[in-house]
Amino acid sequence: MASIDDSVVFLTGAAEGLGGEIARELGRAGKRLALFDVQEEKLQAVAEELATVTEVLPLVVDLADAAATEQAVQSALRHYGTPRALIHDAAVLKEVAMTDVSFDNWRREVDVTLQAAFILSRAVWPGMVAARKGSILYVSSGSALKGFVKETAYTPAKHAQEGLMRVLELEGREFNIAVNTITTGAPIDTPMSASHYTEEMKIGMVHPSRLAPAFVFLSGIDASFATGQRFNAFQMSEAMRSAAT
Amino acid sequence: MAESGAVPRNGAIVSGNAENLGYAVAAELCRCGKTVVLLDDDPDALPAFAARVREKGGDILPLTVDFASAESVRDAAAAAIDHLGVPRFVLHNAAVRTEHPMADWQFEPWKREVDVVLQAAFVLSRAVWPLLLDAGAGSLLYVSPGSAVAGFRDDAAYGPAKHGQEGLMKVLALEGRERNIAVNSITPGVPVDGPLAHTYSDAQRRVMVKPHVLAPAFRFLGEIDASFSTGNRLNAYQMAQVLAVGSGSGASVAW
Repeated sequence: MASIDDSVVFLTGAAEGLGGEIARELGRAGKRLALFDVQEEKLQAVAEELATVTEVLPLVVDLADAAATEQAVQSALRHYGTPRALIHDAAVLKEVAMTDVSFDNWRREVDVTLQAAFILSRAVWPGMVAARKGSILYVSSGSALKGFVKETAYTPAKHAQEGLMRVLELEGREFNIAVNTITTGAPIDTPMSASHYTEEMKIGMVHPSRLAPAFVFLSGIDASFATGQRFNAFQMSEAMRSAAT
Repeated sequence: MAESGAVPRNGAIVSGNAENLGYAVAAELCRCGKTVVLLDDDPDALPAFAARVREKGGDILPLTVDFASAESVRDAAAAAIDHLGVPRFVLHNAAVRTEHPMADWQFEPWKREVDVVLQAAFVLSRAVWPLLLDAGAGSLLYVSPGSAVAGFRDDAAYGPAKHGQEGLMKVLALEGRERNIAVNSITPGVPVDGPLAHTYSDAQRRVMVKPHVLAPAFRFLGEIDASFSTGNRLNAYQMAQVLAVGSGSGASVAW
């Protein structure tokens, strides 16, 4: 059986928002990180901040670009070997009615969520299979189960990502690979939500760092703990915090 | 269900022949006097089928399409609209399904399978959408197998693509509601005696039906609007059985 370094995590969407907080929490927990994002300055800032506590490989990449995504994940694999966990948080959400959405924008939103999920998962899969462990986690949304007006790309993309999880969790079982999705479970104060939330949706909003502990925990599980599940990051993180006090 | 102030529209766009269903639906629509534009990627079977339909008096225009190409689907949709005017009914049934364990998937075949289902669904829907809204009635229907709502092994392209299509349906159902556009998905509801029949278990083979048995459900749903149903996942077999009982025919006609 091949081995995996249990401290290595690949994380997308790490430059800001929820992804940035997940990166910080993972770093504080001693995880060695490959961080993927298209926003170069912000990603470098997070990487520099975390370099004081852990090893960080920042990878500036447009996750809508299949070839670039493949190249980036292969760089990460060459650097670290197979990660213990892959967390795909990156997404684009532009609210546009079907009458107004352009093909290119639609394509981009779908590719950042679904295509990148496939490419990244496909890249780490053989190593996790050989090691008989691993955790793949896709950040999900209510849009993965329900429809919303003007989410002409985001809703299909999140539905499709949920479908990918449902397929891979079956295939991963015999190799002890956990494949799950995770929703925020609470409204979070991030750049994405600032442009998306109504005033009503902002009620009960929390800082995204409140959700991060769940991701650290789930980066260390395998299928024997849970697979094929749709986790709730806020509830899980609050329970962990409560249990620790 | 007549659209107020509008000339009744009689045109239908049918895309794809997955499970041999597309051709069966196109034949049924033609048998019932609809004008049909049939999009398919089989350059041999498609014209031969269209010729047989025309021999029986059906009004059908076949268009060969590469469903994985957004440009090809867009061009075909434009040609269909040019031929029909505003379609009354649009059915997206195009699909390719190959099964591979995750470790064996290559990116290009994966992308192709996803695009045939999901990208083509978007491009086709995007082309007709403004026209349907403007007309104030219409029916958009996506074929939705079990892979659209559940996971299956070795299904890393088709499954996510069909899930994504289900999501597109849900969004468009909401956006089309106030203009009375019906947007639904439909599951066969029964194993279909088509190209996949050789993969069926004995139990599935005992209950499978020919595609034309389901076709009346599609014909019916081609005439609905949102006031009947929108945002739902319908069952073709159940609907076809009810229609057969209701019509007293007891059996559907294979054209």
